[in-house]
Amino acid sequence: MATTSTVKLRSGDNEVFEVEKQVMIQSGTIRNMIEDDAADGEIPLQISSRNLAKVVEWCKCMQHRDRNNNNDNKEEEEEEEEWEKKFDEEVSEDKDLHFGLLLAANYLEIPALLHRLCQLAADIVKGKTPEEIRRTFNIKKDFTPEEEEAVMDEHGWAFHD
Amino acid sequence: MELQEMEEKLQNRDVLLEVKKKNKRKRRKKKRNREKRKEKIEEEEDLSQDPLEVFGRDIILMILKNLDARSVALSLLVSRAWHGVASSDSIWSAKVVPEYWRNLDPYWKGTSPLMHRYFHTDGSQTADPGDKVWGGHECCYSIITSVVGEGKIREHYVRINRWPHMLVSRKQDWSWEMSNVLCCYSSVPDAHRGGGTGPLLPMG
Repeated sequence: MATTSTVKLRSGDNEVFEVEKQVMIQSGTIRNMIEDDAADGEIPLQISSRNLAKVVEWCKCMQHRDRNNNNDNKEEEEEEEEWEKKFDEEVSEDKDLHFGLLLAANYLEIPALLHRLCQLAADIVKGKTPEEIRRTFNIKKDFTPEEEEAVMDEHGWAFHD
Repeated sequence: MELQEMEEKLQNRDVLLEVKKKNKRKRRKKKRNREKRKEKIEEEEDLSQDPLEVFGRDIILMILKNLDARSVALSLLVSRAWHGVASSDSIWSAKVVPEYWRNLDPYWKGTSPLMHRYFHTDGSQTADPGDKVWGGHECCYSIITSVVGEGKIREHYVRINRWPHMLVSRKQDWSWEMSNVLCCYSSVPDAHRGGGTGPLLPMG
């Protein structure tokens, strides 16, 4: 029987986060464990404490926002928007954090966070030439000139103005 | 299905561990490089892995779905592996084929094979027997050159069937009518809107 209202999450580097269940049910993975009464002990996660702290912070903010959805508190609303803006900036500037959070959101099954991070990742790719994308992510070009030409022919509209 | 999911999760976990190890290495590196300018360090660290290798196909698909059609087309040229993901039907069907046509053609919903249209050398056009979208009527086509505006010409444009020219005229209540021998379209008077047809005036 589940008796407490919190879950304990243990990060890959052994830091324990105690978080309200109400907050963590945004994660499909944790929600399943709670429903199966398998969340009473510490839940070990292969997520670094830095990334896990960020995920928990995000979940708290979203839960707070959903709870206050009905009352028209302008000040709080602005505060939340400000927080999300800061979150976006922080993630966009730090690829390690961005990638780590994406993997964590996928593993923990938090759709809203996953979609937000995918949108931010798309913003990085958007408007970049193939060469710029390769440079950004250190990807090796493995097309032969003939293959490259075939792709460009097929999608001529995208490569010429 | 469950087994596959579990495998995927295990893989993700391995990658997470790898990223973590990398983070540790980086922290040490950061210490050594503290003297250097911050941007310089970040630039060096940017030499990270291919996101496709880190995240796998499904997440990259999710990312590419947020892009406009041109950006997706550009990402086709990044590498063979990227081409494999970026050419996926599930991205392009939503970008290039509007909802209306996808509803019309059961192929996009994955419920039936591709529809075919055959363009014969005698200028006629046919479809497969049993094609539900095809009306069964006679059909012809011609290849034409059309002017698309601003002095630009689009060549080899395929026109299906011929439609008698339509004549546009203005009616007494200032609404438009467009008609030929087969049909007649009328605009709906929008007197209440700014820039609309305006109020009706009594005729002397």
